[in-house]
This record gives sequence, structure tokens and C-alpha cells, in this order.
Amino acid sequence: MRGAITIFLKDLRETLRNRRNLVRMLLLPVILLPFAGHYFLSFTDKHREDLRKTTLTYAVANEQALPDLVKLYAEDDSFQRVDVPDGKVEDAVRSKKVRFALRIPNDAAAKLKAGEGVSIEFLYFQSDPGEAVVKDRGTAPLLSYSARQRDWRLVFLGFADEGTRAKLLDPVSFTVVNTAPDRERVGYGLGGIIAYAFLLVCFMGCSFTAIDLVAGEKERGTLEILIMLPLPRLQIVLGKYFVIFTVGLVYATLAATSVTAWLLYEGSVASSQVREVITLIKPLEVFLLWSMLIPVTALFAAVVLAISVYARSYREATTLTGFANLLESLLVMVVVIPGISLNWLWAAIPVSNLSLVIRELIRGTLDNYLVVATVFALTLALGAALLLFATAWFRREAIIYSD
Amino acid sequence: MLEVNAVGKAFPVKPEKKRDGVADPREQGKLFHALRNVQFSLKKGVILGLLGANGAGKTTLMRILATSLKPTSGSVSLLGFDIVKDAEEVRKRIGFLSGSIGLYGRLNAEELLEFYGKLYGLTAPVINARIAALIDELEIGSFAHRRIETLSAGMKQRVSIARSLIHSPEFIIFDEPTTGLDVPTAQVILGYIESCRHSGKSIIFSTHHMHEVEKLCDQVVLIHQGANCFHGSVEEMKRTTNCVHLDDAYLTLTGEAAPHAARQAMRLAKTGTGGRA
Repeated sequence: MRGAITIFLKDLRETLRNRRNLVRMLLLPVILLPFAGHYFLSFTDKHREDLRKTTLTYAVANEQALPDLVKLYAEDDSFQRVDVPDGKVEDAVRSKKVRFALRIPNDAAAKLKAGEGVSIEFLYFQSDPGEAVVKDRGTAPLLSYSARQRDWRLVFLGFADEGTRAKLLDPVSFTVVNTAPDRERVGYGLGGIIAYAFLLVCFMGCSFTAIDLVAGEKERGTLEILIMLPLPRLQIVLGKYFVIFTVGLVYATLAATSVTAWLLYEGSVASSQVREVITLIKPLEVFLLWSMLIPVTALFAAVVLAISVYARSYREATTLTGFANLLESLLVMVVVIPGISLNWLWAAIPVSNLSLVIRELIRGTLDNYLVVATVFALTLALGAALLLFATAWFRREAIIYSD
Repeated sequence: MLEVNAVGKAFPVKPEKKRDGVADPREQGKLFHALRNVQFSLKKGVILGLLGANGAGKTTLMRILATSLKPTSGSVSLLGFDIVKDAEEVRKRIGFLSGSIGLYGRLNAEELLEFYGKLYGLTAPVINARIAALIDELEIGSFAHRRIETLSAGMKQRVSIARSLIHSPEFIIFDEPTTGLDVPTAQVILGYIESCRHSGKSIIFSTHHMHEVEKLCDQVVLIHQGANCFHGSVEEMKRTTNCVHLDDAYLTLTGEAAPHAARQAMRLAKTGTGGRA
């Protein structure tokens, strides 16, 4: 193993002397990830807040049909009426000239007077879930107007007492109580985001290094010299593998640390729930979370090493790693799909199993340690198999001399 | 010391590399025969020049001798070891300088030599002594602590040669060691090759510079289209072809003499002198 250690130390020294590598190592997991998260959250919050506070423009078609309803909107300072011809209100909403519109039927007043039902159209434009606020705010006067009409009818029918009316309308009332603890609830989304970020950063750290150390060395001619040394190929492969593994683990650890620091900061300035969830994570769970990065990195390092050995050029290695990154992202995405939890089936699917374990750890719901051990063992076995493949492939002449 | 017996090497032809309309006798079906029945031997302390046009098969032969390629036919015995069966033993005893410089740019020369010394299993005192000797012999001292990526082509080539010699190999293979170098650097390298002869090392080096062959080589092997068409001394090569100059002998043996003969005739018409004997 002396040869593997010598190659490991030399490659690590070279990797750390590469200024680009260092910039990537600090820029991506330490700076970019928390900043991107911060701006994503603050942008989403700001957008919602803006929609809550902003004056909503609206239009009405057939206002003479129900003037008292129109008056309700006019009296609300948070709305601003825009004059639009009756036949053009839908176009005005679509073109975002107004935020919403009401289309009142001609016979609305007559029907209400006759005790019949009236259907008023509320038109708005929502292609983004954040815009649901417009519907909630815009329909509030309508709901209030409808409640007032209902009360008048009930009074007319002899139910003058408000309490009696309430019992008549809601004979069974209920209170919704979600018994799931905050950690489990908030941890579901948070765990998914963290698992995704960790795995993505870890994969990128491994791939940058592998492409340079293997495909790059093929092109620079240094790999040819290495294979002419009195060293078993396995030692060359292992020396390179452990550099890729170390750099990947550093990337993932830096990402884990900076994301945790960012979440604590976010929790202190924004949502107390996030802060609460983070403070509930015990030191043992933090250690387990970090230790899950070991099989993750072991697997990713083996994947990208095998790709770099297989590829005939730097360019081909970059393309193939791009495909592997896409596949890895798809496998990690299961953490954000509702209804998927860690069971024996998912434990058998590489990468997905690791992301689910990370999520369950953050949620505090990881209780089946046999499944975790299986995931650990399967991942390491897959990594070892890929390493053997890389070594076998490395023995081929065509791999070194693609020309 | 070196016995090359009927060595052949064939590679599968990649469809994208097939050239329409260009007939190469070495391409047969799906195989490209880069080497065919190459045969020669070399004794201890002898410098052998490997000649041939680009693509003739010189690098393939040198890679076979350096154990990074396996012959598809024939056998090679180097220092008493079979290069396929005892590849690791052979690797301990040879030094190989490839056509590409193949150095780690972010290391300096000393670090690089130390790295390869360790991989050859040398102890720290031996490595230090070898580094000091090579730095002196190849005049590397003034840039031994600079990162290799900052060195000129000539400096890099000297470091590359030092790299191939760190373990004091008994047998040395240099693939075009002076190509692209300035005259002073080429002189240092050629001087070093000359000095190796006196220390009993055997050297095979490929080159396109005939004056280097005339100056240094005891023997010459000429590879043409994958086969060796000549093996003997420089004088024998000239005598066989009835030429005064080695480049004329080379062109005659490879069958490319006709255009040159025309140029010779023109020169003769102008100056009244000619090279051909």
C-alpha cells in the first residue's frame, strides 16, 4: 500500500495547490449554498408580504346589478377600482391590468330579492402558488356580503338570535389539531432540502477532482508514466480514489457546517420553528448525519472515478459526469416527493436510500437502525464494486492510449 | 540484454479513423498492424537509434519495451526477463521518457523526483543522493524549486529526463528527447546520453535528427510501415545503401529517395557537388 499512499499524498498536495480547486471548495459549499438559500427564502417571503400589503386593482362588470356589493369593495382602502368596459374584464385580468374582477349577472338583485341563489364570477390570474393571496384577499368582501345576505334571510325566517343562527348553520363544529411535533413537520421539508444540498455538493466535489486526476492525467501524459512504474494498478486506483473521497468529504462537511450555520441564522431572524427544529437535533444525530456522508462520498467517489477511467478524454469525462449528476439528482429527488418514506424497498435503491436516511435523521423519525445499517452496507458494497470495475478497466491498453 | 523476437502489434481499427481512398498495407480487415515481425537485439552499454517516419511504429515499439503495451505476437526479453510475464521486474530496471513531457505542473522538480523515487521503492537517503546527482548532471539546480508549470520547454524536458533516471535504470528508452528544444538544451541532453554509455547503460532513443544518430549511436534500427527494414551500425547503413550521408541512406532504405535524388541533381547542377557516393 506504500505506492497508494505516495500517490494519495502527491495528488492531494497538487489538488490543494490548484487555486481553482480551493476557490470552488470555498465558493460552492461555504458561500454560494447558504447565500442562495438565504435569498431564495427572503425573496419568497418578500413576495408574499408584498402581495399582502399592496393595493389590489380590480374591475367590475355589471356594477348596477348589485351596487351594495360594489360599495363594499369601494369602501376598502386596500382595493383600487380600474374602469374597464364590461365585456373586457377577463382580458384585463389576463393582461394583468387588474389583479381581479367581478362579473355580476344582470338579474342578481332580482334573484336575491326572490330568495334565489346568485352566482358571481371572481376572476383572477394565478400561475404561481404565491399568488393565492390575491384570491384570499379579493374574495373576502364577497364572503362577507354572502354572509350578510344569509343572515337577513334567516332573520326574515324568524331566526333573529345570532346564537340560534350559528347552531342552525353549523350543527357540528370541529377543531383541527395536528399532533405531529414541529420537528417532524418542519423537518420533512428541511430534511429534504438539506439532503439534496449535501449530496449535490458532495457529488460535485468528487467529480471536479476525479476528472482532473484521471482524465486530465491521461491527456497530460502523466498517467502513462504511472502505469510504467513497478506498481500494481490497484494501488494507483486506490491512491486516486482516496484523494477524490477526501476532497468530496471536505466539500460535504463544509456544506453541512455552513448550511447548519445559515439555518441557525435564518431561525434567529425569521422562523422560530426552523430554529427550534435545529436546536432539537442531538449531538449523536449530528454525528450520525455526518457519518452518513461517508458512504455517500465513498459511493460518489467510486462512480466518478469509474467514469473518469472509462472516458477517453477530459471532455468525454465531463459529459459522462454531467449525465451521472443528472441521474444522481433524480434519485435524490425522492426526498421531496410526498408519501415516500424509508422502507426496505427504498433502502435497496442507491442514492435515494441515503437521501431518505438524511431526511429521517433531521426529522428525528429514524428508528429502524437495521435499515440504516443495510443502506450503509449496500452503499459501501456498490462503491467497492465500482472500484473493482475501475481497476479492471484501468488495465486495458485502450484506456491509456485512446489514440 | 535485449532480445526482440518477431514482435507484432495489432490494434482494432476504429471506424472514425478509417481514411477513405488511402490504402495502408498495415490495415487488414478490422485490424491495424502497427508492428510486424520486428526483430533485433542489443548488448549492454550500447546506444541504439530508432529511426522511422511519423507513424512508422517507433513509439508503439518503445511502449512495448516499456511494458505499457503487450505484443500481439512474438516475444521480448529484457535483462533476462520476459516483458509480459515479468513486467514488474522489467519496470524496475527501465527508464522511459515519453514523447509528451508528462510532468505534474504544480510540483517542483525536487518534489517530482522524490515522488517517483518513492514509487520505485528507493529509501530517503538514496532518493536524496540521486536527486542531487541528477540536478548536477542535467543542470537543473537554478530551477529545481520552481513549479514545473512555470518552466520553459527545455527545462521541463531536463526534469522529465531526470524523472526517467531517478532509479538508475539499466536500460533507458527515450522517445525523441531533443524534439522542439533549443541547441544548448539539446546539447546537455545529448551529452548526458553519451555519458550513460560509459556507465554501462543501454539506451534506445528515437529521433528524426540524423546528426544525433551519427554522433551517438552504435547501432540503428530503421522501422518502416511497422517492420524493421534495417538493423546494424551507422557505417553499415551507409555502406549498404552506398550513401555518404545518413539521411540519404535513410531515404533510400525507406524508398523515399526519388524526390531527394531530384533535389540532389539540382544542387549538383548548381554547385557541381553532390552527396551520394
